[in-house]
Amino acid sequence: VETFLLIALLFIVGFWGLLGKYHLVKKVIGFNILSCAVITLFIYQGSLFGVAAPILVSDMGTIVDPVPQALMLTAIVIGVCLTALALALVYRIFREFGSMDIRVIESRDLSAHE
Amino acid sequence: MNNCLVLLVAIPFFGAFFSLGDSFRGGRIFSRLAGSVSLLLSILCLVLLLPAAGDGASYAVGGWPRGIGIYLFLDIRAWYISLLVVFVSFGALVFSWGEGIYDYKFTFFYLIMAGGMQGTILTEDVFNLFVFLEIIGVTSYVLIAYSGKGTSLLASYKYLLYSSVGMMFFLFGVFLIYRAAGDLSYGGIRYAAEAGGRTSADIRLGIFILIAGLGIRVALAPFHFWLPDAHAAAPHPVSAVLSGVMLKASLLPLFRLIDIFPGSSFFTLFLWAGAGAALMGALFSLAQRDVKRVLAWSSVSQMGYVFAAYGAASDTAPGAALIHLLNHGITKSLLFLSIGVVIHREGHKKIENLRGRGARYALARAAFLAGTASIMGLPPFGGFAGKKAVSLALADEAPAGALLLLAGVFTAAAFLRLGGIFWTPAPKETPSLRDGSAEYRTAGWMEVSLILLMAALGAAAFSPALSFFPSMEVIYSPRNILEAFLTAALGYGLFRLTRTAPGRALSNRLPRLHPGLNGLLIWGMLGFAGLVLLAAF
Repeated sequence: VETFLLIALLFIVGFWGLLGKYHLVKKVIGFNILSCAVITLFIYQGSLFGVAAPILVSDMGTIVDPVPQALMLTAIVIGVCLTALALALVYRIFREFGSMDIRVIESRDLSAHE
Repeated sequence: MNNCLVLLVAIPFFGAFFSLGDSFRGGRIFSRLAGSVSLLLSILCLVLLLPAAGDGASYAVGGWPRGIGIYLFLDIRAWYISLLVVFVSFGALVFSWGEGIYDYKFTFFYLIMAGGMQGTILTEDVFNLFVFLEIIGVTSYVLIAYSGKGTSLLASYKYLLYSSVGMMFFLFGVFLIYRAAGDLSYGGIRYAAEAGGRTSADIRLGIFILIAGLGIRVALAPFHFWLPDAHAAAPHPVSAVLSGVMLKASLLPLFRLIDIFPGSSFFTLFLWAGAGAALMGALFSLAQRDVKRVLAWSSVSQMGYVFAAYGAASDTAPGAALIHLLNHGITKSLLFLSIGVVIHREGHKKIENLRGRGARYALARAAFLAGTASIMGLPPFGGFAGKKAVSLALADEAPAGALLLLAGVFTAAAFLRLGGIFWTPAPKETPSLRDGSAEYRTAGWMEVSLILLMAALGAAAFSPALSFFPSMEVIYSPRNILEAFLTAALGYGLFRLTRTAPGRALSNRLPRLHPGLNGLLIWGMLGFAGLVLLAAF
């Protein structure tokens, strides 16, 4: 139960970073923490059943559930791609608007409210 | 024959890599060839698959047995949506040739997006759904930001963060489903849910949480606030694909998931969220000044119709939702592209700057007229069939049906307002920004693409005759036709009202309510809390 509480805490920290911080890069970091929380959750759940790594073992009884690990491997890769793309966008936004503060940028981008 | 299923996903991916050939040689032969050939081959695959789709065709990738392997599945509903995806993607790709401002990188991302949408439609398990949703997500973020203008970059960043957070909720939902069902394929989830009791309740909660993520992609209220920014900032062909087909491609898996629990609170949620979004979207589209934002808000509204129809859960509901979805897909992409012709050649985006400027583009004018009539629900266009099918499905849900009728009036007003671009005399004193430029030489492709989509719209008028809907006569009854014209007339009255002083004041105020990035996240959180509450009761 403590593990789940810790994961929930991690999730909340990530969400706070997304919502409470106005810096564009800090928002991306917040998203990363958030995704770490979900990934840890899957891995922890998968580890509840066994002890051995599910690689080249004949005794199927002792291995952990391999499905969550396979899924999270994919999710981690996707997370990295998203982070890279988000940071590239942040760089371009900084060059266009000359600021990293979402409040400043949104006030300079008038098209949404005209 | 069923091998065609995997080809549907794989062909656009191969085409994408083939289009990279232009990076070595220069020119655009490779990307154009790759784009057109791969999408036309996809159409061929779909034609070959039609006989099998009737009973539902499935394919095991790599030949692994069920429970281990990845499965693709195509039924008749998926077949139609898949055809819509391929056809509109092809039309919009032809349009992008006409604009002449895109290079092979555009085609690369565009084709990956097309393949991703096919995967989203065909996949048979929730985790592959996640992967394909992220594929269409990443490519659409890139394509939205393609122009490199500040507004587009910001819209892309906002959409990226918001929808990535949504996908984390999606994964959390997948986690709950996996823990309860021990299986992630739709069939496995259904099997586990039929056991009832605790397992079934957990799966239901999982799907509710998953909707907090998927709802962003399909613009389910209140997760729809990203859509006007992103769809308005994208290049025209991309807007057409995002609004026309991407929303629909992501919708089919959602329908498949909630079908696991017939008669549950999912349907009530869809009914009311849909009816509310229909009215709100139409109201906001009337108040926008940017032409593409009008169209984008109208997409929110029309998706609301689809949700409401599906949520009615009557006998005709799935058929009605499908008909409206197909018709809206064609109509909205036609509208985006016909407006795109005018915006591209005149260089303005605001309605008041564009007044009368569209009059000189005869084909765009005809296409816009057809699209407007369709979205206002005037016969004989497809939108009429869609709207009437939806109101037939909602026959037992009078309050929601009334909301939709009201939304129809607002939609009519919003599009009559846009009509000013094409039907008022052109301003003589101000020449268009791009008059006489070399772009006119390549412009023929834009017209070809409009003709393609108009042909599709014409064919869509017969959509109620498709096998999954009772009959044409029920839809094209004199009473329905009269009602449609009455709605349009009321819409004209409403349009006149917005020209009065209080109307102007109100339509100036409404767009200011639009939330920024933090507003998006807060709305998403509220929507998530609402879904969890709904799951608890």
